[in-house]
Amino acid sequence: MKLSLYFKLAVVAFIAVCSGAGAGFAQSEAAPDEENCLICHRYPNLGRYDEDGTRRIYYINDVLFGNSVHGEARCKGCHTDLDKIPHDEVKKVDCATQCHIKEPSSNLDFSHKNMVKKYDNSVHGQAADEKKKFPEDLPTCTYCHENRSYNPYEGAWGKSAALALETLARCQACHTEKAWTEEIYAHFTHRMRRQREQDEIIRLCTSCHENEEKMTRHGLEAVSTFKDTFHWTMVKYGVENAPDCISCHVPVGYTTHEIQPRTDPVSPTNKRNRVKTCSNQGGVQECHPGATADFAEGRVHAYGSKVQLLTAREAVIAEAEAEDSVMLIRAREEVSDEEIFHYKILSLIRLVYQVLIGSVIGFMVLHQLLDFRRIRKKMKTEGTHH
Amino acid sequence: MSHNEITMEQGKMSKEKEQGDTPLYFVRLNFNERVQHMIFVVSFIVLAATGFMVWIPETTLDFLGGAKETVFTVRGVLHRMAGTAMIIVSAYHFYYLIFKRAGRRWLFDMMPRPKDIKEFIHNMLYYIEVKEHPPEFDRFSYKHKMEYLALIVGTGLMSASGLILWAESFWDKFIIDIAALIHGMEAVLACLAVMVWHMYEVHLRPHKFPGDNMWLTGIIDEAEMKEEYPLHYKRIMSDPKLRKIYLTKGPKQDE
Amino acid sequence: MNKEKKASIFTRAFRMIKKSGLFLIKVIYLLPFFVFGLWLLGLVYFPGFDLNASISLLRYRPEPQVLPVVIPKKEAVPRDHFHMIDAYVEKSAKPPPICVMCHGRYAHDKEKKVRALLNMHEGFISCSVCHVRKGGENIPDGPRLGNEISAFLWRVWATGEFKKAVEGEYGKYPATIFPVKVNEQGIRQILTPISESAARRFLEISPELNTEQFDAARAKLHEGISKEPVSCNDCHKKDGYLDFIQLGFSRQRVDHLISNEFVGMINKDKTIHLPSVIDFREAPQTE
Repeated sequence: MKLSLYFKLAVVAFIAVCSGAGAGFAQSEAAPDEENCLICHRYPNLGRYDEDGTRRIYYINDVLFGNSVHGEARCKGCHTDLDKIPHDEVKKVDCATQCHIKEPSSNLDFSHKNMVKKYDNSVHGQAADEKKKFPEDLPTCTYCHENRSYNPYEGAWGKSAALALETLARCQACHTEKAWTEEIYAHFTHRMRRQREQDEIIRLCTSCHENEEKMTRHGLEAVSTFKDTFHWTMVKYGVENAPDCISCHVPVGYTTHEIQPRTDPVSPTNKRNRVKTCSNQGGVQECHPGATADFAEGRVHAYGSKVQLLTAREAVIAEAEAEDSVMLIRAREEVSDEEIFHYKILSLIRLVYQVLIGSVIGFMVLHQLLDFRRIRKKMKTEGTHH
Repeated sequence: MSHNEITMEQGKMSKEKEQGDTPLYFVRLNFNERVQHMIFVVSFIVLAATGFMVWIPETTLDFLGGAKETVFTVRGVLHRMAGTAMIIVSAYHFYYLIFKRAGRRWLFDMMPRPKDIKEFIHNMLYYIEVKEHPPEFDRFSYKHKMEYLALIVGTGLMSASGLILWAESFWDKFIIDIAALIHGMEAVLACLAVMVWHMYEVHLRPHKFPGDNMWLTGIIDEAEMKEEYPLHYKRIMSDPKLRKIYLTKGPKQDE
Repeated sequence: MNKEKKASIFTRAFRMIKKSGLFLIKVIYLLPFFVFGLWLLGLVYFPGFDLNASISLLRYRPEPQVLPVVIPKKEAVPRDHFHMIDAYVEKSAKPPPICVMCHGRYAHDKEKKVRALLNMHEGFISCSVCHVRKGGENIPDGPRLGNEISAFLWRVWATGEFKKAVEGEYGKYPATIFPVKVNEQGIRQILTPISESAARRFLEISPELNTEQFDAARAKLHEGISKEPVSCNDCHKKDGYLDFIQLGFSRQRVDHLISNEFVGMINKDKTIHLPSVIDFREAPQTE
C-alpha cells in the first residue's frame, strides 16, 4: 500500500514537472520586429472590407508569429513589395519567392520553389494540364496551409513534453547557440509527424470535394460517399491512425503536392498499386496486412453519382448527353460494367430490405395494436364482472 | 442441472402435488432453455448497442470527448465477443434440438402446421370482435413459430455476414459490401422485430406490463396456462407423461 | 355531506395524480424504445439525414463569413487567414456603439490610404470620441452636443463601470473609451449622439423614402455628429484632443503616441518609403 502511494506521488510529481517544463518550452519569444511593422500591425482591429466585401484582417500576433514555422522570416521576405506607407497596390504573396532565410545545408537563400513546381504538375496544379477548366476552383498554397505554430514533439512514448526537453538538451550539449538549436529542433521535429488530425484533413479536403456543383463541373464525384464507409466511423471516433483522405491517397512514400488522379499508374489508388496501399505502406503502416487483390481492388468509397448517372433512366442520360456533360463522359470512361453490376445488386438488396422492414414491422405493429385493444377491452369487461 | 434431473425432480413434485389441492404450476422454459435464452439476450443487447454505435452521427459523439478512441476499441472487442457467444449458443441450440429429448420435443412442437393458419385467421377475427373467444393455442402459437423462424434466419444471416466482415481481407470487396449491407439492414429488422413483436408479446401486453418474470423462473401458473395455451393445458392434464414433464411446484421451491 | 364531498374530491385528485404518475412512468419506460425504433427506421429510409446538422442549420448565425478563430486547433481549416491570429480580432465594444448598427464593423472606407488605420481604433475608441467634437461651439454649424462632454473615460465591457485607466496594451483592452456626460446629480453616463429609437425608425422607413426625403432624414438623424471629425493630427501631437495621461497611458507610451514616427506616418499627403532591409544576419555556424 505504502509503496504504491509513494509511486502515485512520484507519478504526480513527474507529471507536474513535465507539464511545467512543456509550458516553458512552448513559450518562446516573440519575433524581433526589425522592420517595425508591428507598430501598426499588432492592433487587433487593423483591417477593412474590400470593395467586394471580403474582410481583410491585418492583425499579427507577434508571439504566435514568432513561434510559427515562418517565425524567422521577415515580413518583407514574403510581402516583397511593401516598401511604402500607406501600402497600396499590394501583390499577393508568392510562395516561390526567395526569402532571406538561408537553407542550412547549402547556405543559399531558401524558397518553396521546388514544392510549387511539383504542385503545379499535380492534379490540383494549374500547369499540368493546359485544358483545365475553372482554374479558380483549384486550391492554392494558402488554401491548405496556414502559418502553423511549432509544437514540441510529443512522440509515441507517453506523449511527453519532457521527452522533447530531454532530446533538446542533448542537442544543446554540442550546439550551444540556444535559440538556433531550439529553432532547428522545433523545425525538425515539426516535420516528424503529420500536422493535422484526421477529421481536420477530412474537413479540409471535403471543403471542396463535397461541393456537388464544383465537383460536377470537373467531372468528379462528390465524396460524401466516404462517410458511408467504416473508415469514416474510425475517424468519427478519433481512433489513432484512422484512415482519412491522406492515408490512402497519399500513403507513406508519396507527397500530397504530387497527388495524381487514380487513373494515373503512379497513383497509390490506382488498381495496380492498391494491394500495397491497403496492406503495407513502405513497411510503416499496415492496415489490412492480408489484403488480396480481390479485396484491395474493390470500391472503397460508397457508390456515388457516376454509377447512379449510368444506371439512371434513359431520359436523364439523354439529357446529360445533350448537355455534353463532363460527368457522363468521365463516368463512361471510368466505371466498369462490373461496378455497375455490383451497384445494381447492392441497390436491389437495399430495396428488398426496405420493403421487407416496412411490411414486416408494419404488420407487427398492426397485429400488436389490435392485440392491445382487444386485451384492454377484455380486461375492462372482466373488471366490471368482479 | 441436466435435463433428466429436472424431469425426475419434477416428477417427484407433481406426485406430491396431486395429493393436496395446492395451485398448479407449469414449466414453460426449463433451466437449460432459460440459460440459452439468457446468454442470447445478453449477447443480443451487447451486439445491438455496440453495433449501432457505428452509425451514431459524429456531432452526437462529442460528449465522449477524449474517451472516444477507447470507447471505439472496447466497442469492437465487445461486439466480437458477444457475436461469438451468440454463435456458440445458437450452435448449442441446434445440438439441443437434435440430441436432447426436451429439444426434440421443442422442435416437434415448433413445427409449422396448417392449424397455425387457421388459428391466425381465428385470432384476427377475435381481435376485430367477430369471434368472442381466442383460438385454443397449443404450446407454441403462430406468433412463436413466426418469431422462431425469423430468429433462425436472422441469426444465420447476421453470423455469416459478421464472420465475413471479421475476416475482411480474405474476401472480394463486393462480398464485403454485401455482407456489410445485410449486416446493417438485418440488424435494424431484428431490433425492430424484437421490440415490436417479442418485447410486446412477453412484457408489454397490458396484463403483463411492465414486465413478466417467466424468462427468469421459467414457470407460469394454472390460470395463465388455461388462458394462453388451453390446448396444451388439456394435453398435459390428460397425459400422465406430459404431467411428469410440465407440472411443477410453486415458484419459490423452484430454486 | 360536505365532508364526504371533500373527501371524494381529494380521492379523485389523488387518483388523478396516481394515474398521471403511472402514465409518466409508462412513457419514460417506453420512450427509449420508440426513439430507438424511429432512429433505426430513419437510417433505413432516410440514410443521408442528420438531425444534428439540420438543427445547426436552423440556428441563427449572425455573421456567416466571419473568420473562424484559428486558435482552437479543431477549428483550423484556414480558408480565411494565413497568419495564426488570436481571438482578439473578434472582440469589440460591449455594448457596441449605436453606429455599428448601420455602419457595421470597419466603418471607415472613404480614405483608402488610412481606412485600415482608422478602423484599427474601433477596438478601443467609440465612434463618438472623434465624431462628436468636444467644444463644438467653436466650429461654425457645429453640433451643440459637443459641449456636453465632460470627460473621456474607459467603460469596462464586463461590468459597465467607468474607469480612468485599464490594463492592457496595443489595442487589447477589456474596455472602450467613451465621451461621458456628468449630469447635475453627478451621475456619469455615455453621451450618445444618435437616439437608438430614431435610428431604428429611420431603418424601418428608409426604403419608402425618396432621395430628398432620405437625405433630409439622414441629416436630421446625424445632427449630433460633427461635420469635421477629430483627425489623426489632432490627437497624435503634444497636448492633443485626448489627454493620454488622463486615460492612464504610461509616460513612455504617450511619448511614442505623439512621436514623429506616428505623426509622419499618418500624414496622408505624404508617402513614406521604407528602406529595403539588407540582411546582415550571418548563416548559422555549425560546429
